[in-house]
Amino acid sequence: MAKLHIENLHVSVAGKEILKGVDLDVTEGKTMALLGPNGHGKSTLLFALMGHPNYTVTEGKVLLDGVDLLSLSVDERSKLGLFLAMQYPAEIPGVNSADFLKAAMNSHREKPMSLFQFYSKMQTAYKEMGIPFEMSTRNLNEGFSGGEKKRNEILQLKLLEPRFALLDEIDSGLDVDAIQVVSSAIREEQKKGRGFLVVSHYARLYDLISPDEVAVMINGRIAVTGGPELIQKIDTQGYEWIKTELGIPVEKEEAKVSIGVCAAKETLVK
Amino acid sequence: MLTLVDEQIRDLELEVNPGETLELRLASFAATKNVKIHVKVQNNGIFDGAFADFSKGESKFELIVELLGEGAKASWHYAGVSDGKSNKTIEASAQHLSPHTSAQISQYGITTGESRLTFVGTSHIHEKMVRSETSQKEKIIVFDKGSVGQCSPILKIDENDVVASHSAIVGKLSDEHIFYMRSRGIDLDSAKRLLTLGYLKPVIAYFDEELGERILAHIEGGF
Repeated sequence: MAKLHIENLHVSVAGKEILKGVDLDVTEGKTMALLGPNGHGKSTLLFALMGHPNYTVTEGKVLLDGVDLLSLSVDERSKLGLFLAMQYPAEIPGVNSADFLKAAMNSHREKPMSLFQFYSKMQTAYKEMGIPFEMSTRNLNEGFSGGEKKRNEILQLKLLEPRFALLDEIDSGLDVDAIQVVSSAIREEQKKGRGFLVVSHYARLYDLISPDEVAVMINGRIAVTGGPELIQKIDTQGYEWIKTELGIPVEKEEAKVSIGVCAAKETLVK
Repeated sequence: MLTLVDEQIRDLELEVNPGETLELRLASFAATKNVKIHVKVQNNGIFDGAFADFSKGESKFELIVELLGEGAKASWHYAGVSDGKSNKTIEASAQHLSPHTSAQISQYGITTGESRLTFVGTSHIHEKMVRSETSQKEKIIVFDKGSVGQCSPILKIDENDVVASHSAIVGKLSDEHIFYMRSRGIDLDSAKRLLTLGYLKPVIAYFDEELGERILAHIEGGF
């Protein structure tokens, strides 16, 4: 089984070190839940893996099935099989959703698809995600509701068929119906053997997608790893036990990074 | 409809008679020269203009619309590229000289290489020209380090009972937009092309199929 192997990863954002030596392995075909208090580096890890220019890797290495991920450009990482579903996907005025999807899908292929092939794939995916097909003619994410944006992220995951998918709070802002649609789509993709690294604050999503492994990020490092029972423990007890049982002090958020989990949002606004 | 391509574009004096509509379509793909177009619109006349501009060189384009009769309307949509070492100034102005007149001016541009693109325009609602509406929207995307974009949409309003707005945006393509597209496997050049296409493409709707395709090829080929 191929691995997404992360070793001693240090990442800075605007000169401030957020990740301070992350070691983690995500296995193809397995789903790993990534938990941790706000502002401790979960989103930072996902964005750094995808190669966002604001996240500077200062030390460490990342291998995707043995290939040095950090030496690749953002689009090359995608072509290698990495996918990031974002908490706040960019709204892109003037770019038609269908044109965008076609360009994205073709970039993963040697030869461009026929128009028929493209439309039938797109139609199926829209139907499965419960998105009206007319939305394919609209500008990408522009004026989409929070729930529509999240469905649109998973729709792209389905169409691009990555080996490893990173999901950043894909359940935030979803109503009960939407969370069912999104989680059942994730379950489908799990069956296809993709590896998942899933950030969420809610046990509800994890109940629906049954992670195999759990990692807890504290102070920019992985403090604990274990099985799904950790999710229950955190859901009921919070993170205080990490301090008492493991002797790791949980750094309090500074006012400035209190929206740490929304680090992506912060950069979007800039 | 009056359609002028390249060398046919020259200084023009146009008059829109009461109740009539004039559609002016301009497309330029070759070297530029200075052009001055003066349009007079009478009662309830409509001037509807669009310009797809891929010309090169140093030039000034000037459009002045005089809304002379009550109920006269004007709209103007410019989409263009300034590349290489070009230096282009595009001026579009509306003079509201009767009550109940309206003018909408929208100009979209891209500047690349060491080129310069300047949008200017003055929309003037004169005294007593009540219930007039005017807007000036100008937007330039600056592609490269040596490229310069400048927008100055000016409003002169001498009457209270009117609606007027203006906006100017000059900036580079959003890093977040580019990151989002690249994270889906689209390479940098293709991402820029898609973003540009979305920005300039609306002008195509004003032209017939043949010319529309020629314009599209220029937008797609340029990046």
